[in-house]
Amino acid sequence: MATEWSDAQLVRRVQKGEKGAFDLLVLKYQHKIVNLVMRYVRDPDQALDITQEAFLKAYRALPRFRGDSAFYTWLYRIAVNTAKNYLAAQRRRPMDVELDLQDPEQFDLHAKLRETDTPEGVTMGRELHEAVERAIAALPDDLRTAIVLRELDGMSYEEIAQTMDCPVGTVRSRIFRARDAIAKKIGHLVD
Amino acid sequence: MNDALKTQISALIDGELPENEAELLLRRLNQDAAMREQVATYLAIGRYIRRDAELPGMDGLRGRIANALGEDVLVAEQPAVAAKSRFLKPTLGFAVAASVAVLAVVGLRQSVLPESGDSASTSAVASIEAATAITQPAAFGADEEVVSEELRQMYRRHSASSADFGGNGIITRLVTLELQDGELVVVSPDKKQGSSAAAGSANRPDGQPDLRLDGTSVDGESQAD
Repeated sequence: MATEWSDAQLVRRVQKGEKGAFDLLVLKYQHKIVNLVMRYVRDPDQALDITQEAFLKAYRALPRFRGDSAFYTWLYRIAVNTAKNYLAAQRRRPMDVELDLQDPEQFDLHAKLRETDTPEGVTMGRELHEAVERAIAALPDDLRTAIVLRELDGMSYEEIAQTMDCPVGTVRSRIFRARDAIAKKIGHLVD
Repeated sequence: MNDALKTQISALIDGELPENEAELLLRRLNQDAAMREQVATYLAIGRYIRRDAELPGMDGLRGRIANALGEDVLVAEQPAVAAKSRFLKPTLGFAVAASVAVLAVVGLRQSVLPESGDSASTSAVASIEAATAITQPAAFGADEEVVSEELRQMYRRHSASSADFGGNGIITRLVTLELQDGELVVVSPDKKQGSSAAAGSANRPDGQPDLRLDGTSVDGESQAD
């Protein structure tokens, strides 16, 4: 039975004092939180500072986190409050705060729209783009199909297995091999 | 890192790893930074494929958080460590002093026990004499070689630690008592070679007389202050 990359598992480990588990939570949510904070401040450096502060607050508060809400919802509120406090300290108004604080997913939609039409402070190297495109194009068909269905269409392994008419284990292997091949092709750019 | 492990990591970030495998893998990930880098790489590939936007400086955010957390943890732990040290210092000092006392008693007892193992003379009692009964600095006289260098070092360490207790560096002298003619008499280490009968009239090797428990010397002089 498949399970989510469970926040609850990671939270429990952090609460036991395992800092590596918190590193995984940071890996998992740092981009979402930065995108959220960018709704409040224009400056990328400020956004990074606020995001860092939000994660630190979350880490300190995690021993008291009882799991009444989902971890990300809890983290989302901390980030929003941190951004607002920052703005209050700066005596500035937020750019736009017409967000439903109870619905992180709604915000993510806003964030994605913003990412496409506001390139200011948001970049991804053209060289890296091209390298990824080349790496995907160079993949064998079965690997390319599997990784695209997963990353772009967001299909589960079960759905991909049905689409590609193969066992789930094969899907798992194909997606790994696709990622590994891409990692090798773009490694020099990412490092 | 082998492919089997990387396949597991790949499935984990997709939420497609069976729960029992995920639990084991998370345990390893928690302890292995290199494995977490693999997680970071696979997540980044997903963002690149989706063309998710990324802030400049985003690469360093995780490191900044980790560094800040390291400092935070150190700062948070410092009072606890300090409190622990304050508690441990006297306890440790006491433990050292107690260890020295035990070793000294054992050493001195060995020095007074007859080689023959005569059970009658094993009635000699070793004790730490109360400072109020006899408070005099430890002296190592002509028979100094009887006390080993190691024992002397232990005395010095004991003296150093006793200052922390407010003992002002006074070295507690360890003595051995022996029952002689119905009286407990302080026996010097040099008595180990001599007979217990002669011990009652013999003076200490440092020139000071042996003492009874009431503070008078065997010769009848009072030593108590």
